[in-house]
Amino acid sequence: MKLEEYIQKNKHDFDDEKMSEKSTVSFENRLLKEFHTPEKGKLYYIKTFSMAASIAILICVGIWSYIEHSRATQEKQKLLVNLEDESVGTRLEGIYHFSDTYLKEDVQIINSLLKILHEDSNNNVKIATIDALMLFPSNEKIRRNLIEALGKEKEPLVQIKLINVLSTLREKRAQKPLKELIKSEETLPIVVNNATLAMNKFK
Amino acid sequence: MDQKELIQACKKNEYTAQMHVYTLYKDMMYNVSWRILRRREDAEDVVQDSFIKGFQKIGKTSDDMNLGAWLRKITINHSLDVLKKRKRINWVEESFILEKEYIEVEFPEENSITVAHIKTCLNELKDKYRIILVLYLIEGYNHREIGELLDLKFSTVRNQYRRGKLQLLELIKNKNSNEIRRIHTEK
Repeated sequence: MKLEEYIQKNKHDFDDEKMSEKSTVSFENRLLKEFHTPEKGKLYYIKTFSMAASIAILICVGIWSYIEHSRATQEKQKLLVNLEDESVGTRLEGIYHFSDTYLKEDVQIINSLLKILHEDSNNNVKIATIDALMLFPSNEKIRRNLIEALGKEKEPLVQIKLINVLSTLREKRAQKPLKELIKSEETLPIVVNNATLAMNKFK
Repeated sequence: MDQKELIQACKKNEYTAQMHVYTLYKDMMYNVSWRILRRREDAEDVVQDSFIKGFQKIGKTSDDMNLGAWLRKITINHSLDVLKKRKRINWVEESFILEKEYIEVEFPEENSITVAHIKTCLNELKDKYRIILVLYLIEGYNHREIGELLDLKFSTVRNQYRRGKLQLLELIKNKNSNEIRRIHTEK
């Protein structure tokens, strides 16, 4: 008989070692700990629930962001359309909506407002626009345009509004157009008075 | 409870079924691991780890599988991993010796040999021979499967097996003659 045959024939006799009792006890404990601890089960459910909740929150946030983004885009588009509308009422509505609720320093809208500041034919629209632009007093582009507008503006009410605003902003660069207004014979006395007061504040 | 029902119960994480499986196979698995590692503590740890691993993965298996063979395979793999971590075995040392140098040593008469005697001799072999012999002779793996398990070439496994077997037969013969001589002297 060959070695292989002998071992094959007596194979089961090779398994004569026994696991210790101590090891069985320790296995029972390990099994309970790994698979049957209530906390473990609870933890599993908590983990699963947390994961599901996190995913749900992420999806909701994603959907909400998308809706919010779409809504904001729509709102902005509507605002821009209103600011360019032919009707004074609609332009005013646009400006008031911007200063009351929109309140974002959006470049496109600011540019649209600056265009109104320089080109609009209606005083009320211009005055409302100046108030709206004043929401961003540290915006250099707005400050420069307000100074520029003061140099060009011919309407006394708007001139007074610009003088007051630039005075509030303590914008010293406004001194030059103010001096020109004071010197000009076309300027109404009330405007000259306002301009003089503003000049005195800068001193 | 038959084996299929036992597997299904384990899949449902039933403690009684798991302990039943443990009781059924613990000694078989312990012997498998002990033959490879030859340290009680290590082998017992491997058995525990293998059961835990088995219960974790049993959900992915078929209800009709051979549970004992599956657990045996897990135990062998885990025992070999432990052995590899414990020490580096130079499997290919001396394997350049040509097969033709191998001379078959006769296996002694069956009635003068015991399993205990073979086990003792097997345990005296170097790891690189013993592991291959154990896997081939007792666990029933062929040379190709052993090569895959140990990441060795088929030819290396075959060569080491032949060399190991040769040494084992020499040991069996010598130890047996010494034993017989000792018994005769005592008489």
